[in-house]
Amino acid sequence: MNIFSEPSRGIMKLIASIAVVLVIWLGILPRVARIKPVQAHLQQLEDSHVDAGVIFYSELDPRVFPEPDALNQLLRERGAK
Amino acid sequence: MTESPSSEVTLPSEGLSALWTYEDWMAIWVGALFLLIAALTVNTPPAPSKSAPEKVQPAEVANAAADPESAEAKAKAVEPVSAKPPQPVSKLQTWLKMPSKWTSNPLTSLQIQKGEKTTSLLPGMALTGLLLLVPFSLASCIMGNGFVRFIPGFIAIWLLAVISFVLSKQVVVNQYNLEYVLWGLAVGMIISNTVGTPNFLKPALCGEFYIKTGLVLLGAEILLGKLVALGIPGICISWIVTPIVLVTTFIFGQKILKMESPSLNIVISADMSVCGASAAIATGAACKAKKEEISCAVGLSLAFTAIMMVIQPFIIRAVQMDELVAGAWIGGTIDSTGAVAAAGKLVSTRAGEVAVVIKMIQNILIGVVAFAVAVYWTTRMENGSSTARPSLMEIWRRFPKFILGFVAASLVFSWIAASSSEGTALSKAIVDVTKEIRTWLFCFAFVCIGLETHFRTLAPYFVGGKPLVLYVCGQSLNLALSLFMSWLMFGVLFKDAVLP
Repeated sequence: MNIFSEPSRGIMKLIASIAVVLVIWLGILPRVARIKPVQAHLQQLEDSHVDAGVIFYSELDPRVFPEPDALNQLLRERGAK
Repeated sequence: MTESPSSEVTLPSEGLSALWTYEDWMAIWVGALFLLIAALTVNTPPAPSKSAPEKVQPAEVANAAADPESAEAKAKAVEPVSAKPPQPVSKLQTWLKMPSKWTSNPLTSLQIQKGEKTTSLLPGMALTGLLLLVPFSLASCIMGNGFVRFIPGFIAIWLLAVISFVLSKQVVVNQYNLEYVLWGLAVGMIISNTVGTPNFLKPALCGEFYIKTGLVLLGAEILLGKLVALGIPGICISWIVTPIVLVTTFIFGQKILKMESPSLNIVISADMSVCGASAAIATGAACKAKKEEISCAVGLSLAFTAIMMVIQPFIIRAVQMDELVAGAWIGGTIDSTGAVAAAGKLVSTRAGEVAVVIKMIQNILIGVVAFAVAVYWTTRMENGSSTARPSLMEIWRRFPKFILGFVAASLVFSWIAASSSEGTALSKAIVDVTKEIRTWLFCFAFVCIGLETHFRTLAPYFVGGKPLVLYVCGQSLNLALSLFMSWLMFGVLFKDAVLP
């Protein structure tokens, strides 16, 4: 026998989903972010001005692109060796 | 994206009225309006005074650049040789906001720290919502979908978009490139699959319209001049490998896997071979793919991106691959742009730089790919079983018109950017505003898609695992071909030669 009506089951499912989201985002993920290697990796990305969440090149920080002629400089050095 | 199969798509009415009643045309006008508003608010600060700062000698810059790891080198590499004139900036840019990154307290993503001062981002986000609400509610009214009843639905979608951004900006989620589109979809689906989508939201559920308008704005970011960045190696790695992988994967899906939906096949092929979610959105709209197909392709792409951005740098370091070859390989294979930058940096600074340039060229290619897919779909795929070539009039009637706005924006902004250094600065100032608007629009679109998607409608796309097999086979080909081409370019032909 189903003791809940259709709308109240929906509301309970919504509350359960929100609870799962809250547990993951407020409980698990902040703990993961405090793990030393994860912290170091996040700091490395921050220092390199990299935002891993962007979907198009125009959203990237201009500092992640090479300086003009920087690659040629590297290739010249390789050629000189 | 349509509810019905592409052959049953409602085509626009003939005549001039289609210019304001058909969604594709309206997307162009709304996109053009945003570009115009951004252009009109650009302010060029006055020229600098004669007392320019002391010049840095070119030799010093070269020496500093030779040791890119040193802090001094970084500082000098960023510092200009001579004082640059002030760059134009849009006044709107300082107002348009979205949630920022956070670690443990999500409320901190709604504020920004500037020195000692903490500023709330909520007024900026509300203004962004208002800036979007006005044209979209007017457009809804003009297209006959009502004005007043659009507003409450739009406000709720804006709120759900804010929640999606906050979820995506948690630092751990963000570092694995689990983008806002995924959380927009998830937030929408949680509501539609539990309590159901409330009726008051439905007038504002126009995901297709938001995507098409966002794509017109994205066109302005597709600067064709950047296609030749990195010279011949860039052309060979991106221009040759990407189309080969795209076409081969599509043919493989149709002939070998016999995928029932060609549009799902091309969307997965494009997001895997070109640039992830943005390519899925652009090609999905160009071939009128169903919303579930775009969701499926984006989900696959993000899942594999999160895996590849960890495994690929690990393999590269284990085999001690050359950093330029490694950078080109990462740029050519990992789907999402942000993930490419992060994975490249894990290898080395130089690898990261090569990777982002290769990915940038692939980003630009989505303009070409979306246009080609739109033409192919209207001339071949929508012709059904008929062997006769459709007439030009018929092709025009079927053609997704918003692609014209997308291409026109790309051509105009490419021309402006290439015309002079002032043009480059002007186009950047405009795009800095419209990319924020475009990001919000894509988020709105995926919230809407989620609100209209039930789990049971997604299930058939995963039966038999064909999308997964297609992705894995296509990505394997992409990995092999990109590695070969990267090695050929940076390991053999341009190993120590100056790029042409």
